[in-house]
Amino acid sequence: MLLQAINSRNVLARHRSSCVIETDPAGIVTGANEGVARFLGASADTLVGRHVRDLLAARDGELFTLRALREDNVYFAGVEEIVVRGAVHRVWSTVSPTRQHGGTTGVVWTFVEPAEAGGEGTVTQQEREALIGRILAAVAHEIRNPLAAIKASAQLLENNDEDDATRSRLVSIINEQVERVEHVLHSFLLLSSHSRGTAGSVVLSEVLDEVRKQLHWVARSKEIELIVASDSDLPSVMADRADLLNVVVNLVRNALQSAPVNGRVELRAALVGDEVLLSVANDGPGLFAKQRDEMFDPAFATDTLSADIGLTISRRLVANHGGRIEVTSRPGKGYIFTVALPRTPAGVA
Amino acid sequence: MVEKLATAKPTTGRSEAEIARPTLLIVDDETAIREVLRYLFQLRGFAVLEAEDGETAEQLLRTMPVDLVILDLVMPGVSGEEVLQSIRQRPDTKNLPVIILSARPDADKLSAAQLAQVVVYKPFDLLELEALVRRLLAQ
Repeated sequence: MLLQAINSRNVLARHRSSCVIETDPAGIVTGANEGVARFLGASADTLVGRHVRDLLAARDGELFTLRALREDNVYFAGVEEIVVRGAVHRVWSTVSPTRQHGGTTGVVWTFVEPAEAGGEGTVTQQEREALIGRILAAVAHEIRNPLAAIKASAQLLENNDEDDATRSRLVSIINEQVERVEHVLHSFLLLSSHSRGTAGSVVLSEVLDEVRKQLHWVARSKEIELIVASDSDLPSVMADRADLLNVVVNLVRNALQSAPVNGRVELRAALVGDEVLLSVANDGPGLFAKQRDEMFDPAFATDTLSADIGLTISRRLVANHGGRIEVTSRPGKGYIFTVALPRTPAGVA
Repeated sequence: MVEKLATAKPTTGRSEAEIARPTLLIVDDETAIREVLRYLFQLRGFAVLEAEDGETAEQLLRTMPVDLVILDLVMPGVSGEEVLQSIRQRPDTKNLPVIILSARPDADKLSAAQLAQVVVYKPFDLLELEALVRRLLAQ
């Protein structure tokens, strides 16, 4: 667990450009960095001992931090609008529970305004090369498994020692795995087309159908039940279709990878208020330490290139289209990613 | 015959026939890989146990006699590396031959590689893998 391992004082010192607040289980501030002090226009020392809700409030609903304190062992990452002295600030937030000796000791909340989070223009050539390297490594890994099954099946068939049922099954394996390779390639090619950023009215049911087509073989190869469902009267959303497809494909792919064999992954879309919520849930072990490290390390808020390309794209989509993304995870009980997008305003085609 | 955990017999010693028939444990979250390896090794007279994740593998290793493990590294939950560390820490399995079977191009550079007898990359040659298994069992 990341936050068991790190020294919280180091977190406060390391991320001077971000705002970092630590609380105890009751929500009382136990530490705040200089970023928070600047943001609130107060001395950091005067913040300690006060309840976090007395310092900051969400414009609508509840702060992630208060939800994390209320719901045991849940992580949040996303955009929230907070009110400070009457002014609304749109910030990237990550909230992680802290634990010691198995018990919850509070939360660490890190937030930064998107303008400080950087964008495409801040990506260096070195970072681009590193990203390409990661994508190629991921492609290689995704393809080697089906290739191994294809090659081994073909070699077994060559021996001609098997009974008819086994031969038939081996041929099926080859066909399934070839289609899987094709879909993997298709998915990764789509990743390269994500940067158009052209928002339009997108019919979500079509996006969900495409996700199902792309990933049902991956689900089948791991004997995972992939459930795709949406409200029948779902409105369209304003987004770049390719971006949105990539976000959902990546979230579902990640959910499939961490779901157990014979497990379940659910992709659902529903209209809640003025937002369309796309949720991806699995019944896996919860977020792995590595994923949590990347998503909930306070540095994530200022890192322009997440190690996970899907999350990188998700962040851009959220930033560009006024949506938000959040994740809740409970060890042993899986996780739920939720992408919230505003519905297409009336009169927009 | 493939023995799954749910139907596995408790390990209270092995008959002569079982001793003469080496038992392989195949640990991989890829169903197709496990299936193909099972076909091959059963055809060649091995007993085959399967685990789709690290946790199941550790349970099987605690309850069933195993002569060699073919182990994937990247799996949900308990990773192959953690399984391997557990194998090396337990007195009854510390010398168990383990073949890492991985799609990771850097598998031989991982610390887990130092704990295994050999690293085989996917896609692999089935006959070479069989020869490797036989060689390790003969040692």
